Amino acid sequence: MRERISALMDDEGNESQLDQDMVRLRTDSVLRGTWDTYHLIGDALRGDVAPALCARVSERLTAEPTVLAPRRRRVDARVAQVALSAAAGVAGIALVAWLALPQWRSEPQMAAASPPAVAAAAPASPAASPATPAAVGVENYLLAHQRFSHAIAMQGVAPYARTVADEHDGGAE
Amino acid sequence: MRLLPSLLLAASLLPVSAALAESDPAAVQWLQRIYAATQKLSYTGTFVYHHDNAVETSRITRVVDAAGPVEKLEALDGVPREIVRSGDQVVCYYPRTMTMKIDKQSGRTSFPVILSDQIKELSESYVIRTGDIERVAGHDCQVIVLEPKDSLRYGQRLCADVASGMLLKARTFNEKHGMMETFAFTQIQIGGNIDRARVKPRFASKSKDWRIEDSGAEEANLGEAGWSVRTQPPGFRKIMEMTRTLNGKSGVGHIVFSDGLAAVSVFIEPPAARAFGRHAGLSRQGAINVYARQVGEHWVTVVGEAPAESVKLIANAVEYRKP
Repeated sequence: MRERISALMDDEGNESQLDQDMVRLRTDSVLRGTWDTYHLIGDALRGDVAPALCARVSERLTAEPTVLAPRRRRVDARVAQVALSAAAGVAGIALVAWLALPQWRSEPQMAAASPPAVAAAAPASPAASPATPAAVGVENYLLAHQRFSHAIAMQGVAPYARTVADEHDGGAE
Repeated sequence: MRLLPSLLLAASLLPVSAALAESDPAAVQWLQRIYAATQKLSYTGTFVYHHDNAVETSRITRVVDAAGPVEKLEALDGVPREIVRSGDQVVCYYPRTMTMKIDKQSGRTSFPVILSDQIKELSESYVIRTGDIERVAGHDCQVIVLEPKDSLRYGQRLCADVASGMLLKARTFNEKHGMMETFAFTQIQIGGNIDRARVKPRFASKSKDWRIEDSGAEEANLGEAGWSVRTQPPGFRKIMEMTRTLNGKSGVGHIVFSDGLAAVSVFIEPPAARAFGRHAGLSRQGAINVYARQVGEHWVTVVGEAPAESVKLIANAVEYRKP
């Protein structure tokens, strides 16, 4: 019946059923409600909603209690993003398993071990290991480690910038 | 009988030449040029360290004169800090907390010494080739790519000044060719007259009353203490074993593995020595992966510019047997 209301509104109704539909619209309050709603949607889309109505809707929304639900963690969103781009590849099943097992989430490298075809299809993105938490408080380890990095032989003291990047203030301990 | 030594020599050279065959000799030469430039050049400039979603700017100056090379890195963003490297000593100045951290490495292999041998070692794990000529910080530079032969290490895309060999940009990428981190100069003066005062720590005069944390690093045999790393990813070998003071506790074991480019450090902390707030498991900053786990009473933390897989593999191979 809803398709027919929609068709009626667009002047695409079946002539033979028109009278019958009109009778039902007059008598059935649920169908009248649907008819009104559809028209309201159409008006809103065309920007024809009366200002008074807008104000009433705003008032109602203000009066609604605010739902204090915890926000989804950003990490989850990034996992989803990577999952979407990677799911375009052939490793779909592996990925479903990866997402389904929460303990695997900290190891997105598992997904990275997919065939080269996926590697080529996936866009180069800095969020290569999105679910790995950021290293915090590792400055002292980095400081001790850095001199053995062969990058030092090529870049001089520059890689020590990594120790500066750790937001944790190392001197505070 | 004279033939035997030369036969042996020929046999020992075979795998090396086979490994080198895949790499472009011109690219290998470029690497040697970069190493030489890093040793002998004086320069001053501004560079950015780009990792994850962050960009940090630092000023870096290196002066080489009769007194030997001195380098200074000064953080321009965030908490003010300075790091000065001279000889085999690295000193970090933290003015906000009035702390000075000193890491002095005495002993024979205090710095990675780059010989042509090590470039051959590199060719076993990476295919080295040259790329295009690009422009970085106003200089024409040659692109050199180190493509890893397996997923146990990251790749490197280097960009070196055509005129001097100075490395102007280095990007670490993973097996999907996604950027893990980038070091890049945005402005640089290579050579010329650079005042030695520019590598002096700004806080040297004020730091007399500061708290000093000395790493006290010393070569040590951790095997004698019962520690061993059963296995390591192919291409990685142990380059150093020592004890040091870390997080305020002495006697922390430190073992370093390297494949000629990437290094992975294993830290073994005695009970109660671990920095509070740290958790077991994996974490990451740019190309650095960190994996921590407990072995008996000890806390093992593995830190390296290698994929999580490699860092975990090494961490899980750490073993203690009462000597």
